Amino acid sequence: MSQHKVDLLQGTLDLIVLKMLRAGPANGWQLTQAIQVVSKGALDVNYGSIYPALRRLEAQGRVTGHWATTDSNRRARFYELTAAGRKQLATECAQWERFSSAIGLILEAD
Amino acid sequence: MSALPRWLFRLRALFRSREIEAGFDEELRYHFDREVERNLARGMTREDARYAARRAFGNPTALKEEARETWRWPRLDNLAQDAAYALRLLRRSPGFALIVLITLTLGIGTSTAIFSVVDAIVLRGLPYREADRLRTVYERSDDGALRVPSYPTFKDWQAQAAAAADAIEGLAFVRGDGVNLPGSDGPERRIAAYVTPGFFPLMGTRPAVGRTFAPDEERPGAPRVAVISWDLFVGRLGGDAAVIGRTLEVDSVPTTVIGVMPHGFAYPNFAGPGRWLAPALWQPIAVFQTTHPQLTLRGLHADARAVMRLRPAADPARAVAAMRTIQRRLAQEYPVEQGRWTSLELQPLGAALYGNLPSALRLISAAIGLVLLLACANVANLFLVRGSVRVRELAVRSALGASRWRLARQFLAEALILASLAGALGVLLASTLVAFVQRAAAERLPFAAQLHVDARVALFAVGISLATALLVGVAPALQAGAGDLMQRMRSGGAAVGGGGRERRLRHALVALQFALAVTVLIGAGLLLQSFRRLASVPLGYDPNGVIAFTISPPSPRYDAPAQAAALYGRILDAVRAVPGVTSVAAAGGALMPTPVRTDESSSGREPAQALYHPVSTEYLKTMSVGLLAGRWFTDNDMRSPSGFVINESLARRLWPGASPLGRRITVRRSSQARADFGQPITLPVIGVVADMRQFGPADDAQPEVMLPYTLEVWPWMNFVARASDASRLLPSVERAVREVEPALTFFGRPSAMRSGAAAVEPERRFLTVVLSGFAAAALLLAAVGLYGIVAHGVAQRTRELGVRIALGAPSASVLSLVLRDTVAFVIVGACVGLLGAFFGTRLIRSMLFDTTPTDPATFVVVPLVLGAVAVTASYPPARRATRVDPMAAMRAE
Repeated sequence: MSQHKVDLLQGTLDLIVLKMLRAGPANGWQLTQAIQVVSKGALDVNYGSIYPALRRLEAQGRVTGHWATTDSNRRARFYELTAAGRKQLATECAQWERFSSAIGLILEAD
Repeated sequence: MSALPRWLFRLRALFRSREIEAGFDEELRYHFDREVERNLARGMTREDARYAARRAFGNPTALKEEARETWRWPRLDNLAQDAAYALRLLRRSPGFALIVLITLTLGIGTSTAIFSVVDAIVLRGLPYREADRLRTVYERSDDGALRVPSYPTFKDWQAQAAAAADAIEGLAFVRGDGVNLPGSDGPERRIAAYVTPGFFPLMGTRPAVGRTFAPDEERPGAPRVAVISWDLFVGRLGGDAAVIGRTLEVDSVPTTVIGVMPHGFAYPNFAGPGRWLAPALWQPIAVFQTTHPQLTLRGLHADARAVMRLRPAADPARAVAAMRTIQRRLAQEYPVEQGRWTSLELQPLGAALYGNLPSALRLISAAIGLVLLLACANVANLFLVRGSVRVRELAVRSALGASRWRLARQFLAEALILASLAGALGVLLASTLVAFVQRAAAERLPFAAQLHVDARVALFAVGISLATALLVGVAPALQAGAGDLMQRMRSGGAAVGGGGRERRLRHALVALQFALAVTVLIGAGLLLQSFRRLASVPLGYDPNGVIAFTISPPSPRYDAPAQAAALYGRILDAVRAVPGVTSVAAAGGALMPTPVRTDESSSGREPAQALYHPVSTEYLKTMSVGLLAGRWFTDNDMRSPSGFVINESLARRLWPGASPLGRRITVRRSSQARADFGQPITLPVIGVVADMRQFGPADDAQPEVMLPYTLEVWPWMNFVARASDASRLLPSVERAVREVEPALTFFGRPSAMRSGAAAVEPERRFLTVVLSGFAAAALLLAAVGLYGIVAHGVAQRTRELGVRIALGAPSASVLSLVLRDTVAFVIVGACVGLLGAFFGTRLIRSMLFDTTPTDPATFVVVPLVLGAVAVTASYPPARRATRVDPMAAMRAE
């Protein structure tokens, strides 16, 4: 696990959230745990900013939210991808691929 | 779950915002709790756990704000915030808000009211197709007199018009006459207009119901048809479209109604002095010709109009030139009737119908533009002062990151709130003013019925308010962002007036206000002077206590002159018997000029024109006119006429310097309804009376020749009666007359003659009243503005004044300090205004009577009045300055 934490680029938070939700509905806490695990702690982000992002995605119609009780008998808001969200995920992934390979090419060129 | 479209999402969120916000809080709290739990599980203390969780989380308030943008419209929120803040600020300074509200309401209300009036007359214009191409055609004599053409002359014109077809599209002739129509209680006398073929297409107005004349209805002997006016349609015939085809008794002749003209079509106006008479119905001229064969006489020049339609973009001069050839030919062929009348004059239709009103209204519009400008200047000044007082607050907000636009929005919000409120109140004020004008104008001015505040006008008012708000709110907003932040935060309200440039701007606005106020005041002053002089012009007779009425005896019983004369005699006796009536007289005649010949003027010299006036023995006594020479008519003269009485104008005209008594003059019978129309009567002059201004104080007295009413008996007659309490006796007089002959119709019901101010023509009175109102409004606005400026100046400099007073400054020096600059600018403004008025008032020269545009009295009184007002307005706040408590001032902010 790298000790250097990477700062989150603008606009990629939405992409991350969408990708995480593809696995299935989750609430904000579960998402943050998942992100920490998958990125092996490399991402340094104020996990609170997930919540506005989730609301934003909900307003855009990419996810839907509903209230439910957790196993610890507390109320939490769960989100899941919509069809539009899935489409958006595919588009943004493709964009990210193109972007990172373009940067890669530039960096590798001598 | 399917997703909602974005806007619907936000809309739904609008109604559930509290629920959503609570939900968001709960979401965050859940996360926070879980994080704390995890930290505890890792072995941190409770405090450390919470601290770590909080740090990892970020700022919940910022998160919430960010999230909020997803379910609300941030722009709307900002707007609401600005508005709420603006309202709070305005509530905290009610004086400012009130002054601005009053000022804007006055400005918007008056300008909207006048816009309604101008709109009704000038903008909406006349209800004829392309009315600017229509002209009334008059014959013009070599010395500039105008008269209506006779019917045969008109026919000659029509024949000639073909030669000028490039300039003239068409001509029409309208002859008016009184007719009896069935009324609610007995027959009513109304006006009928008899028109030549093609009149309605020429005017271009389509009938509201039905149709106009077909060609075979306009031939002599055709079955009787009529097109009726809207007023008759609604007033007497029930306003039901089924009226088409119904029969109406016109002078007891069954006539079929074939069409109704729309509301507002009222051509021509046969107005007498101070009256507005529109036709109740139109019929083909062939009908009139059948009953009045003398229509074909060359000498008939009354109760008619000739109207011409020019081709689009045609030059009226070309039309006149073409017609002048025929006028000259007629002058040669008929030297008696047409001798001097070799030219024509075309007048725009509006002039005949509305007189001088459109140009008067333009003047009023200019005045109201000035007053509105004044109001805006006032308000702008107040906003500027307010802006400078809040300099520190703006600096702080600017330092906290507010953009210039955000600061400007604050001021705009305040301005918009005030302006919209003022707009609403202004429309209310306008409605009241318009209703007042309508009542005041009622029967005397033709447009009164169309006056109302409509949607377009309200839109205009709203537009004005918004424009004002922008104009006025933007200024301090722009000033808000300028300048050094630190400096402004420190100086804040302590700075005197907030900077030299601002102060100069504000003072310039004060000067502008007073300049405008002076200009409007002088205009009003001049008109008031004219009015006063006009109202006190001696008329030559005394109208106070005189009752006047006109009657028309019923056909056919009184068609013969002898019968009519006997009826008039009986009416005279009956009215004289009414208790309270001291004398009564017949005073007939259409007051048309008629040629008067003396024995000496049978050679080429043109005959004099004099008003023709059949009267009875008590006329002189009733009207209180002076007898200058010779004698007046006696009862003997009524039985066997032996002479004429002329007035001094005619005497001077015919025999300057010599006594007219005994000299013989010849007039021609001018009652067009009588068979002996045009026959000469030659009699000696037996008396000379003083001149009378028959047409009101504005027009000079005309030469007159009077004769016994029994010598030429008119088919209708005016009567005048002098009574001790004229207005109270009107019903008794009417009753007495009706008892003599119940079937007669009143052409003019008994009414008290107007004198003094009431005798001045209604257009002039209207103009004077309105302009004076505006002057008062302008003065009020300027005073209010001055008060506001001085008051704010004092409020701003409270601390400084406190220091000065504490240091022992006398009241006088404090007063001078507060007023010095303002007074200087007031004086400058007033001088500029006076100068402007000096050169500008010649524009209204035509509306003045016996008053020069640079009337010294007005130019002296107005500045004095203004000075007095300025002192009154600035004194209270200035005095408050001298009473400032030094301790309180220095402590307060």
